[in-house]
Amino acid sequence: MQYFPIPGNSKEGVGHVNDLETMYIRKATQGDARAFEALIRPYERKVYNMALRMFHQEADAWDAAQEILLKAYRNLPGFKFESSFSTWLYRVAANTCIDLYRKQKRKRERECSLDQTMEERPDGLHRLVASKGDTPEEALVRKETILEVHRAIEALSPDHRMVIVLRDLQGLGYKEIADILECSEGTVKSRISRARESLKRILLENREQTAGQIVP
Amino acid sequence: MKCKEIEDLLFLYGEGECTKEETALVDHHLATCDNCREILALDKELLSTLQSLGSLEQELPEGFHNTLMEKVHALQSPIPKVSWFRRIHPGIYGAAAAMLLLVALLGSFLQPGPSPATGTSESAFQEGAALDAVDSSMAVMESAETPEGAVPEVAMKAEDAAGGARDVAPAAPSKDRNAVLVVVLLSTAWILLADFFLERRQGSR
Ligand SMILES: [Zn+2]
Repeated sequence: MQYFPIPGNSKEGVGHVNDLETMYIRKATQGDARAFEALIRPYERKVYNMALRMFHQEADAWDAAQEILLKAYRNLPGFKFESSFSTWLYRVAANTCIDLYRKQKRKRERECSLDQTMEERPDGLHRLVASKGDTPEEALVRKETILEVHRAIEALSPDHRMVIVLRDLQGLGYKEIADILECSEGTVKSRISRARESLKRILLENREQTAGQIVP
Repeated sequence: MKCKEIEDLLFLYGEGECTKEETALVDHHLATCDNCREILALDKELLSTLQSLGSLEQELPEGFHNTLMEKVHALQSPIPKVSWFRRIHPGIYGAAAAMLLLVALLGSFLQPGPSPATGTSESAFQEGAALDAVDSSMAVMESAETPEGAVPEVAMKAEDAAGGARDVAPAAPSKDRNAVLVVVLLSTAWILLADFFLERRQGSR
Protein backbone atom coordinates (compact mmCIF):
# COMPACT_ATOMS: atom_id res chain seq x y z
CA MET A 1 0.00 0.00 0.00
CA GLN A 2 1.27 3.42 -0.91
CA TYR A 3 0.73 6.07 1.72
CA PHE A 4 2.67 8.83 0.01
CA PRO A 5 1.98 8.71 -3.70
CA ILE A 6 4.95 9.99 -5.64
CA PRO A 7 3.82 12.66 -8.11
CA GLY A 8 3.95 11.14 -11.56
CA ASN A 9 3.49 7.61 -10.26
CA SER A 10 -0.15 7.79 -9.30
CA LYS A 11 -2.91 8.90 -11.64
CA GLU A 12 -3.77 11.73 -9.27
CA GLY A 13 -0.18 12.92 -9.26
CA VAL A 14 0.07 12.92 -13.04
CA GLY A 15 -3.14 14.89 -13.36
CA HIS A 16 -2.02 17.45 -10.82
CA VAL A 17 1.41 17.94 -12.39
CA ASN A 18 -0.07 18.19 -15.87
CA ASP A 19 -2.74 20.70 -14.83
CA LEU A 20 -0.08 22.97 -13.42
CA GLU A 21 2.14 22.40 -16.43
CA THR A 22 -0.73 23.16 -18.82
CA MET A 23 -1.31 26.44 -17.04
CA TYR A 24 2.37 27.33 -17.25
CA ILE A 25 2.44 26.46 -20.94
CA ARG A 26 -0.59 28.63 -21.72
CA LYS A 27 0.84 31.59 -19.83
CA ALA A 28 4.34 31.15 -21.24
CA THR A 29 2.90 30.99 -24.76
CA GLN A 30 1.54 34.49 -24.19
CA GLY A 31 5.04 35.66 -23.30
CA ASP A 32 4.96 35.22 -19.52
CA ALA A 33 8.63 34.65 -18.71
CA ARG A 34 7.92 33.66 -15.11
CA ALA A 35 5.55 30.93 -16.23
CA PHE A 36 8.19 29.70 -18.65
CA GLU A 37 10.72 29.66 -15.84
CA ALA A 38 8.43 27.49 -13.71
CA LEU A 39 7.68 25.28 -16.70
CA ILE A 40 11.27 24.41 -17.58
CA ARG A 41 12.74 24.23 -14.06
CA PRO A 42 12.16 20.46 -13.72
CA TYR A 43 13.68 19.78 -17.17
CA GLU A 44 16.69 22.08 -17.26
CA ARG A 45 19.11 19.61 -15.76
CA LYS A 46 17.92 16.80 -18.03
CA VAL A 47 18.36 19.01 -21.08
CA TYR A 48 21.84 20.06 -19.98
CA ASN A 49 22.90 16.47 -19.35
CA MET A 50 21.54 15.36 -22.69
CA ALA A 51 23.53 18.11 -24.41
CA LEU A 52 26.61 17.10 -22.44
CA ARG A 53 26.17 13.51 -23.59
CA MET A 54 25.84 14.61 -27.18
CA PHE A 55 28.76 17.07 -27.18
CA HIS A 56 30.95 15.80 -24.31
CA GLN A 57 32.42 19.26 -23.70
CA GLU A 58 30.96 21.43 -21.00
CA ALA A 59 31.21 24.67 -22.99
CA ASP A 60 29.45 23.12 -26.00
CA ALA A 61 26.83 21.54 -23.75
CA TRP A 62 26.16 24.92 -22.13
CA ASP A 63 25.65 26.60 -25.51
CA ALA A 64 23.52 23.74 -26.84
CA ALA A 65 21.32 23.56 -23.74
CA GLN A 66 20.80 27.33 -23.77
CA GLU A 67 19.82 27.21 -27.41
CA ILE A 68 17.45 24.28 -26.84
CA LEU A 69 15.61 26.04 -24.03
CA LEU A 70 15.45 29.38 -25.85
CA LYS A 71 14.10 27.60 -28.89
CA ALA A 72 11.52 25.96 -26.66
CA TYR A 73 10.46 29.41 -25.47
CA ARG A 74 10.23 30.81 -28.98
CA ASN A 75 8.48 27.76 -30.43
CA LEU A 76 6.12 27.19 -27.51
CA PRO A 77 3.12 28.51 -29.50
CA GLY A 78 3.74 25.54 -31.80
CA PHE A 79 3.13 23.10 -28.94
CA LYS A 80 -0.40 21.80 -29.49
CA PHE A 81 -0.69 19.33 -26.59
CA GLU A 82 -0.51 16.40 -29.00
CA SER A 83 2.23 14.83 -26.88
CA SER A 84 3.51 15.40 -23.38
CA PHE A 85 5.53 18.58 -22.93
CA SER A 86 8.53 16.44 -22.00
CA THR A 87 8.36 14.59 -25.34
CA TRP A 88 8.03 17.87 -27.23
CA LEU A 89 10.97 19.39 -25.36
CA TYR A 90 13.10 16.32 -26.08
CA ARG A 91 12.18 16.68 -29.76
CA VAL A 92 13.35 20.30 -29.76
CA ALA A 93 16.50 19.12 -27.99
CA ALA A 94 17.18 16.28 -30.44
CA ASN A 95 16.70 18.49 -33.50
CA THR A 96 18.80 21.29 -32.07
CA CYS A 97 21.61 18.90 -31.11
CA ILE A 98 21.71 17.36 -34.58
CA ASP A 99 21.72 20.82 -36.22
CA LEU A 100 24.49 22.06 -33.94
CA TYR A 101 26.45 18.88 -34.45
CA ARG A 102 26.39 19.38 -38.24
CA LYS A 103 27.41 23.02 -37.92
CA GLN A 104 30.23 22.04 -35.58
CA LYS A 105 31.39 19.34 -37.95
CA ARG A 106 31.50 21.75 -40.89
CA LYS A 107 33.43 24.24 -38.79
CA ARG A 108 35.87 21.54 -37.70
CA GLU A 109 36.40 20.44 -41.27
CA ARG A 110 37.15 24.02 -42.28
CA GLU A 111 39.64 24.41 -39.47
CA CYS A 112 41.19 20.97 -40.08
CA SER A 113 41.83 20.53 -36.38
CA LEU A 114 40.76 16.92 -36.00
CA ASP A 115 43.64 16.13 -33.63
CA GLN A 116 42.45 18.77 -31.23
CA THR A 117 38.93 17.41 -31.09
CA MET A 118 40.05 13.83 -30.51
CA GLU A 119 42.28 14.82 -27.67
CA GLU A 120 41.18 13.96 -24.14
CA ARG A 121 39.59 16.91 -22.46
CA PRO A 122 38.83 16.99 -18.78
CA ASP A 123 35.13 17.11 -18.04
CA GLY A 124 32.95 16.63 -15.02
CA LEU A 125 32.53 12.94 -15.75
CA HIS A 126 35.94 12.07 -14.30
CA ARG A 127 35.02 13.69 -11.02
CA LEU A 128 31.66 11.92 -10.94
CA VAL A 129 33.06 8.47 -11.72
CA ALA A 130 35.70 8.81 -9.06
CA SER A 131 33.18 9.76 -6.41
CA LYS A 132 31.30 6.44 -6.48
CA GLY A 133 32.01 4.25 -3.46
CA ASP A 134 33.47 0.81 -4.33
CA THR A 135 36.64 -0.93 -3.16
CA PRO A 136 39.65 0.82 -4.74
CA GLU A 137 40.21 -2.02 -7.25
CA GLU A 138 36.53 -2.24 -8.21
CA ALA A 139 36.34 1.53 -8.50
CA LEU A 140 39.35 1.59 -10.83
CA VAL A 141 37.97 -1.10 -13.13
CA ARG A 142 34.55 0.45 -13.12
CA LYS A 143 35.92 3.89 -13.78
CA GLU A 144 38.03 2.63 -16.66
CA THR A 145 35.09 0.77 -18.18
CA ILE A 146 32.75 3.73 -17.87
CA LEU A 147 35.25 6.15 -19.39
CA GLU A 148 35.96 3.65 -22.14
CA VAL A 149 32.27 3.51 -23.04
CA HIS A 150 32.05 7.28 -22.76
CA ARG A 151 34.86 7.68 -25.30
CA ALA A 152 33.35 5.06 -27.60
CA ILE A 153 30.04 6.97 -27.66
CA GLU A 154 31.93 10.01 -28.90
CA ALA A 155 33.01 8.01 -31.95
CA LEU A 156 29.43 7.10 -32.93
CA SER A 157 27.58 8.81 -35.75
CA PRO A 158 25.25 11.55 -34.46
CA ASP A 159 22.13 9.53 -35.23
CA HIS A 160 23.44 6.51 -33.36
CA ARG A 161 24.72 8.66 -30.54
CA MET A 162 21.31 10.28 -30.25
CA VAL A 163 19.41 7.01 -29.74
CA ILE A 164 22.02 5.68 -27.31
CA VAL A 165 21.77 8.90 -25.33
CA LEU A 166 17.97 8.83 -25.30
CA ARG A 167 17.58 5.14 -24.53
CA ASP A 168 20.61 4.07 -22.52
CA LEU A 169 21.72 7.27 -20.83
CA GLN A 170 18.52 9.29 -20.41
CA GLY A 171 16.64 6.01 -19.85
CA LEU A 172 13.61 6.78 -22.05
CA GLY A 173 11.24 4.07 -23.28
CA TYR A 174 11.05 2.91 -26.91
CA LYS A 175 7.57 4.38 -27.35
CA GLU A 176 8.66 7.80 -26.12
CA ILE A 177 11.77 7.79 -28.31
CA ALA A 178 9.56 6.93 -31.29
CA ASP A 179 7.38 9.95 -30.43
CA ILE A 180 10.39 12.22 -30.03
CA LEU A 181 11.99 11.19 -33.30
CA GLU A 182 8.61 10.95 -35.02
CA CYS A 183 9.11 7.46 -36.38
CA SER A 184 7.76 3.98 -35.60
CA GLU A 185 8.76 1.95 -32.58
CA GLY A 186 10.11 -0.73 -34.92
CA THR A 187 12.42 1.81 -36.56
CA VAL A 188 13.62 2.96 -33.15
CA LYS A 189 14.30 -0.61 -32.01
CA SER A 190 16.34 -1.49 -35.06
CA ARG A 191 18.22 1.82 -34.96
CA ILE A 192 19.10 1.31 -31.29
CA SER A 193 20.21 -2.25 -31.98
CA ARG A 194 22.48 -1.06 -34.78
CA ALA A 195 23.81 1.76 -32.62
CA ARG A 196 24.69 -0.68 -29.82
CA GLU A 197 26.35 -3.09 -32.25
CA SER A 198 28.35 -0.17 -33.58
CA LEU A 199 29.28 0.87 -30.04
CA LYS A 200 30.39 -2.67 -29.24
CA ARG A 201 32.57 -2.75 -32.35
CA ILE A 202 34.22 0.57 -31.44
CA LEU A 203 34.85 -0.67 -27.88
CA LEU A 204 36.45 -3.89 -29.12
CA GLU A 205 38.62 -1.99 -31.62
CA ASN A 206 39.74 0.43 -28.92
CA ARG A 207 40.54 -2.48 -26.59
CA GLU A 208 42.58 -4.23 -29.23
CA GLN A 209 44.50 -1.03 -29.88
CA THR A 210 45.20 -0.51 -26.19
CA ALA A 211 46.22 -4.15 -25.76
CA GLY A 212 48.55 -3.82 -28.75
CA GLN A 213 50.18 -0.80 -27.14
CA ILE A 214 50.75 -2.49 -23.79
CA VAL A 215 52.03 -5.81 -25.13
CA PRO A 216 54.50 -5.18 -27.96
CA MET B 1 22.73 -18.39 -39.78
CA LYS B 2 20.54 -19.08 -36.81
CA CYS B 3 23.10 -17.47 -34.47
CA LYS B 4 23.08 -14.21 -36.47
CA GLU B 5 19.30 -13.90 -36.11
CA ILE B 6 19.55 -14.53 -32.38
CA GLU B 7 22.43 -12.09 -31.97
CA ASP B 8 20.28 -9.30 -33.35
CA LEU B 9 17.79 -9.93 -30.55
CA LEU B 10 20.24 -10.25 -27.68
CA PHE B 11 20.31 -6.60 -26.58
CA LEU B 12 16.52 -6.44 -26.52
CA TYR B 13 16.45 -9.80 -24.75
CA GLY B 14 19.01 -8.54 -22.23
CA GLU B 15 16.85 -5.55 -21.30
CA GLY B 16 13.60 -7.54 -21.36
CA GLU B 17 12.18 -5.77 -24.44
CA CYS B 18 11.62 -8.88 -26.61
CA THR B 19 8.14 -10.09 -27.49
CA LYS B 20 6.97 -13.41 -26.01
CA GLU B 21 7.70 -15.24 -29.25
CA GLU B 22 11.18 -13.72 -29.54
CA THR B 23 11.93 -14.54 -25.91
CA ALA B 24 10.92 -18.15 -26.41
CA LEU B 25 13.08 -18.35 -29.52
CA VAL B 26 16.16 -16.94 -27.78
CA ASP B 27 15.63 -19.10 -24.68
CA HIS B 28 15.47 -22.18 -26.85
CA HIS B 29 18.66 -21.22 -28.74
CA LEU B 30 20.68 -20.22 -25.66
CA ALA B 31 20.03 -23.62 -24.09
CA THR B 32 22.31 -25.17 -26.72
CA CYS B 33 24.66 -22.35 -27.89
CA ASP B 34 27.63 -21.34 -25.73
CA ASN B 35 28.71 -18.69 -28.21
CA CYS B 36 25.45 -16.74 -28.01
CA ARG B 37 25.42 -17.06 -24.21
CA GLU B 38 28.83 -15.38 -24.17
CA ILE B 39 27.64 -12.61 -26.43
CA LEU B 40 24.61 -12.11 -24.21
CA ALA B 41 26.89 -11.76 -21.18
CA LEU B 42 28.95 -9.11 -23.01
CA ASP B 43 25.83 -7.25 -24.16
CA LYS B 44 24.42 -7.23 -20.65
CA GLU B 45 27.70 -5.89 -19.34
CA LEU B 46 27.63 -3.08 -21.88
CA LEU B 47 24.02 -2.26 -21.01
CA SER B 48 24.88 -2.13 -17.33
CA THR B 49 27.89 0.13 -17.96
CA LEU B 50 25.71 2.41 -20.06
CA GLN B 51 23.22 2.51 -17.22
CA SER B 52 25.97 3.47 -14.77
CA LEU B 53 27.10 6.16 -17.14
CA GLY B 54 23.50 7.35 -17.43
CA SER B 55 23.14 7.55 -13.65
CA LEU B 56 26.03 10.00 -13.49
CA GLU B 57 24.01 13.15 -13.96
CA GLN B 58 25.87 16.38 -13.61
CA GLU B 59 24.53 19.36 -11.75
CA LEU B 60 23.40 22.34 -13.76
CA PRO B 61 26.43 24.66 -13.97
CA GLU B 62 26.37 27.79 -11.86
CA GLY B 63 24.78 30.72 -13.62
CA PHE B 64 23.13 28.56 -16.27
CA HIS B 65 19.60 29.32 -15.22
CA ASN B 66 20.15 33.05 -14.76
CA THR B 67 21.88 33.38 -18.12
CA LEU B 68 18.97 31.60 -19.76
CA MET B 69 16.35 33.78 -18.09
CA GLU B 70 18.22 36.95 -19.09
CA LYS B 71 18.04 35.80 -22.69
CA VAL B 72 14.36 34.94 -22.32
CA HIS B 73 13.62 38.41 -20.93
CA ALA B 74 15.62 39.98 -23.74
CA LEU B 75 13.54 38.03 -26.27
CA GLN B 76 10.34 39.48 -24.88
CA SER B 77 9.35 42.62 -26.74
CA PRO B 78 7.19 44.56 -24.29
CA ILE B 79 4.40 46.55 -25.92
CA PRO B 80 5.49 50.20 -25.42
CA LYS B 81 3.10 52.26 -23.31
CA VAL B 82 1.97 55.18 -25.48
CA SER B 83 -0.68 57.81 -24.92
CA TRP B 84 -3.80 57.85 -27.04
CA PHE B 85 -2.38 60.94 -28.69
CA ARG B 86 0.81 59.24 -29.80
CA ARG B 87 -1.15 56.25 -31.06
CA ILE B 88 -3.22 58.36 -33.43
CA HIS B 89 -0.16 60.49 -34.18
CA PRO B 90 0.28 59.47 -37.85
CA GLY B 91 -3.40 60.20 -38.48
CA ILE B 92 -3.07 63.66 -36.95
CA TYR B 93 -0.27 64.59 -39.30
CA GLY B 94 -2.24 63.39 -42.31
CA ALA B 95 -5.39 65.23 -41.25
CA ALA B 96 -3.47 68.41 -40.47
CA ALA B 97 -1.73 68.38 -43.82
CA ALA B 98 -5.04 67.80 -45.63
CA MET B 99 -6.69 70.60 -43.69
CA LEU B 100 -3.87 73.04 -44.40
CA LEU B 101 -4.06 72.27 -48.08
CA LEU B 102 -7.83 72.72 -48.13
CA VAL B 103 -7.64 76.01 -46.24
CA ALA B 104 -4.89 77.31 -48.49
CA LEU B 105 -6.97 76.47 -51.55
CA LEU B 106 -10.15 78.00 -50.12
CA GLY B 107 -8.22 81.06 -49.05
CA SER B 108 -7.00 81.72 -52.57
CA PHE B 109 -10.50 81.18 -54.03
CA LEU B 110 -12.26 83.43 -51.53
CA GLN B 111 -9.90 86.33 -52.09
CA PRO B 112 -10.07 87.39 -55.69
CA GLY B 113 -7.37 89.80 -56.81
CA PRO B 114 -3.85 90.17 -55.47
CA SER B 115 -3.72 90.51 -51.72
CA PRO B 116 -1.54 93.36 -50.44
CA ALA B 117 0.94 90.99 -48.88
CA THR B 118 3.75 93.57 -49.07
CA GLY B 119 1.82 96.25 -47.17
CA THR B 120 3.21 97.36 -43.80
CA SER B 121 0.00 98.89 -42.39
CA GLU B 122 -2.09 96.91 -39.94
CA SER B 123 -5.03 96.53 -42.28
CA ALA B 124 -2.83 95.21 -45.04
CA PHE B 125 -1.40 92.69 -42.68
CA GLN B 126 -4.87 91.68 -41.54
CA GLU B 127 -6.16 91.24 -45.04
CA GLY B 128 -3.35 88.87 -45.79
CA ALA B 129 -3.78 87.12 -42.46
CA ALA B 130 -5.16 83.92 -43.94
CA LEU B 131 -2.28 83.49 -46.33
CA ASP B 132 0.25 84.49 -43.68
CA ALA B 133 -1.28 82.00 -41.30
CA VAL B 134 -0.89 79.32 -43.93
CA ASP B 135 2.74 80.29 -44.25
CA SER B 136 3.32 80.26 -40.53
CA SER B 137 1.64 76.88 -40.21
CA MET B 138 3.92 75.58 -42.88
CA ALA B 139 6.76 77.06 -40.90
CA VAL B 140 5.55 75.19 -37.85
CA MET B 141 5.66 71.95 -39.74
CA GLU B 142 9.15 72.71 -40.95
CA SER B 143 10.17 73.73 -37.47
CA ALA B 144 9.97 70.11 -36.42
CA GLU B 145 13.53 69.92 -37.67
CA THR B 146 14.74 73.34 -36.50
CA PRO B 147 16.26 74.03 -33.10
CA GLU B 148 14.03 74.71 -30.12
CA GLY B 149 14.46 78.47 -30.17
CA ALA B 150 12.73 78.87 -33.50
CA VAL B 151 9.46 77.37 -32.38
CA PRO B 152 8.10 79.95 -29.90
CA GLU B 153 8.75 82.72 -32.41
CA VAL B 154 6.58 81.01 -34.96
CA ALA B 155 3.91 80.35 -32.37
CA MET B 156 3.82 84.01 -31.37
CA LYS B 157 3.60 85.12 -34.97
CA ALA B 158 0.68 82.78 -35.45
CA GLU B 159 -1.01 84.15 -32.35
CA ASP B 160 -0.57 87.73 -33.58
CA ALA B 161 -2.15 86.75 -36.85
CA ALA B 162 -5.08 85.18 -35.04
CA GLY B 163 -5.56 88.27 -32.88
CA GLY B 164 -5.48 90.48 -35.94
CA ALA B 165 -7.96 88.33 -37.75
CA ARG B 166 -10.41 88.32 -34.86
CA ASP B 167 -10.30 92.15 -34.58
CA VAL B 168 -11.20 92.51 -38.21
CA ALA B 169 -13.81 89.75 -38.28
CA PRO B 170 -17.03 91.88 -38.00
CA ALA B 171 -15.92 94.31 -40.74
CA ALA B 172 -16.85 92.28 -43.81
CA PRO B 173 -18.44 88.89 -44.62
CA SER B 174 -15.42 87.74 -46.64
CA LYS B 175 -13.12 88.70 -43.76
CA ASP B 176 -15.44 86.85 -41.38
CA ARG B 177 -14.99 83.70 -43.44
CA ASN B 178 -11.26 84.31 -43.43
CA ALA B 179 -11.26 84.50 -39.65
CA VAL B 180 -13.01 81.13 -39.34
CA LEU B 181 -10.43 79.60 -41.63
CA VAL B 182 -7.63 81.13 -39.61
CA VAL B 183 -9.05 79.74 -36.38
CA VAL B 184 -9.27 76.27 -37.92
CA LEU B 185 -5.75 76.67 -39.22
CA LEU B 186 -4.40 77.77 -35.87
CA SER B 187 -6.02 74.87 -34.04
CA THR B 188 -4.28 72.59 -36.46
CA ALA B 189 -1.00 74.38 -35.91
CA TRP B 190 -1.42 74.06 -32.15
CA ILE B 191 -2.12 70.34 -32.39
CA LEU B 192 1.02 69.92 -34.44
CA LEU B 193 3.04 72.00 -32.00
CA ALA B 194 1.70 70.15 -28.98
CA ASP B 195 2.46 66.83 -30.63
CA PHE B 196 5.95 68.02 -31.49
CA PHE B 197 6.75 68.94 -27.90
CA LEU B 198 5.14 65.79 -26.54
CA GLU B 199 7.31 63.73 -28.82
CA ARG B 200 10.44 65.60 -27.73
CA ARG B 201 9.64 65.05 -24.09
CA GLN B 202 9.07 61.31 -24.54
CA GLY B 203 12.04 60.97 -26.80
CA SER B 204 14.42 62.58 -24.31
CA ARG B 205 13.48 60.07 -21.60
ZN1 LIG C 1 24.16 -19.10 -31.23
